[in-house]
Amino acid sequence: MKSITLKKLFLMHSWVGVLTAVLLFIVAFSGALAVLSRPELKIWANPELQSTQIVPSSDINTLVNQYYKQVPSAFGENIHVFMPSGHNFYLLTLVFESHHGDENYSQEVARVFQFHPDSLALVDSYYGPSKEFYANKKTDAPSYIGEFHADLHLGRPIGLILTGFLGLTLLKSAVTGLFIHRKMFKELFTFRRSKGLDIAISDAHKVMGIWGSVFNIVIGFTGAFLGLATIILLPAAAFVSFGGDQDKLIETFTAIPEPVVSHIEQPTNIDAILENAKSRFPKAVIIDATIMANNDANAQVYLRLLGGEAVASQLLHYRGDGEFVKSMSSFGDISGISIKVIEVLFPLHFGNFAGIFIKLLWVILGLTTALLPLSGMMMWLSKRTRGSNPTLSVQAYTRWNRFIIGSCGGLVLASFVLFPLQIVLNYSVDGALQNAFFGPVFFYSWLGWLLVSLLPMHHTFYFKLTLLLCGAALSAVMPLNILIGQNNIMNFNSALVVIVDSLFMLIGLTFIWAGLKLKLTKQPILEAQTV
Amino acid sequence: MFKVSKNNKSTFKAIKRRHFLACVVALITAVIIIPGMTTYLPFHMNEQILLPIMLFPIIWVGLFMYAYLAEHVWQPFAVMLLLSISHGLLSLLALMQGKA
Repeated sequence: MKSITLKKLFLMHSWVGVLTAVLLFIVAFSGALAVLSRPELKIWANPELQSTQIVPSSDINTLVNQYYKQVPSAFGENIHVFMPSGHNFYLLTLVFESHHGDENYSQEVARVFQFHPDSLALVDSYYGPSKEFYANKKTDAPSYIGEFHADLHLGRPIGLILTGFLGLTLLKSAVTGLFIHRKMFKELFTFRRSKGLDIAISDAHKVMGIWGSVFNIVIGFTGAFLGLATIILLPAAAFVSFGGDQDKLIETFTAIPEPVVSHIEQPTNIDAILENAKSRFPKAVIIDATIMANNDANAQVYLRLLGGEAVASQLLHYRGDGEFVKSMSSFGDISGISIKVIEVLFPLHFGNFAGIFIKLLWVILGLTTALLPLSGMMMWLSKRTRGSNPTLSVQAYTRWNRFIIGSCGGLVLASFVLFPLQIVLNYSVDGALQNAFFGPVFFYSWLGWLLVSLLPMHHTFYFKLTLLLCGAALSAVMPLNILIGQNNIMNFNSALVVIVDSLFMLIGLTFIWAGLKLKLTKQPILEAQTV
Repeated sequence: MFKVSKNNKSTFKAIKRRHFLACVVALITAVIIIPGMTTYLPFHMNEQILLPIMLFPIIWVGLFMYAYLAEHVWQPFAVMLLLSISHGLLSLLALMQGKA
């Protein structure tokens, strides 16, 4: 390859990296945490889920039919059963929907009943527009971080477009990075820790980038697809393909078509259907069930499954009498190779296709993806302070470093603060009322720490403080849980809580140790000198 | 705060136009290509719709890199303009046929 081409590729790699560094860190770090958000951290965050995540099929059958009799007939059109599996709701949730509204609402309306997964006692109920129910369902710290990763809480479509675009830039940086680091094999194993900070950062950037290149390309590609496909690309492509006929478009791409109600009564065998699915896919988790035209001869039941032998999530179709019809993609019964590839893109992005070890690998690789733009930015800044004619003053260098620590370290701190907050909220605030606390605590602690970067202090000291605060936030989880938590390391009621609390303590103590070990530079504060 | 390096200027000719092409025009072109491609791909309708969507990230990265790597700035501009116009017209024709 010509040297001028390599130089161009290097400059492209640098520019895109520098421009997107902070945003890419934000998305990649929150993504690394989000990998474990469902179901592991969601179960940790909800004591109701810690007792059990499996409700016997016969109990589900009984509850559906008991409450089906209590709601007006229009609400039997569509019944959704959300299992307390840690993927969606924290309670067993029955949603009875009327698509055409009722005497009080002209829009889609729902009657919802939520039960404790273990005791099956009715915990909460709701009557009103379906959209409002789903929009206001209870969230928790891990789900909040997961949703932040998806759209940065900027709402859709803007948030999704932004994260999708960052996926594109990650893909481009990974591709250009592979071109410019031609001595790949040598650089895979080169890390010169004793040669000074600049060389160590440069080596770490190359090692992380090359080892993680396939992962970064996959995450960039799938992230761009997930962000942009549903918002811009699919509507645009389908709109043209169907000649502007949107009804036909929806009809073709709807996974669950409406059945024709026969008005011939026949009990829907929910119990047998759930048991059949469990016997077919014993290692998979049933996420939810949709029952259409319940207790009608034409009733149809769809179960959404995750895990087991299948890499992607799948949709099982049954007739109401319990007869298995077929297994299909979660997008519906669409033929072709493309849909198979798209199905795989989701688990590849989420890392939920082969158990907890792949998830942990995804977390580690995700953290290296977060560190890549930071190390690249540090190399770029550092390079501009060196030489006989530096383009960046030492004062500006310090300010830039403080900005990076404030924005990226502030995000880490804000995310970590949510975990002890979750323990306090579980103790003091009921159900969906907790939702009001996550946003303000997250964004104000992030903004507050970013504003601290305006103070004239040395960036090493600021970094030390960030490490110590992050460590304090995480290591506070276990003692708080012992003091006010329902399940903790002392009573050993939940193994998952014990493992998560211990890991938080370990990571928190590591942050504190790193913070204490960090040597402060003796260089005086530059702003203070110049004032 | 930063001084623009003269070295970069010599590496790229017409750098501002290349930035515009890579950041704005490449994205618009890639978005226009997707629905346009659905009109001529010789596959089943599902494939016609889904395949271009899957290709989108690759198309965008390709156009982005070409905007900087091309020797003359008019080359990527001409390619992107041609792709946009041709695929835009194909989409428009498909929509008009659908309405007729």
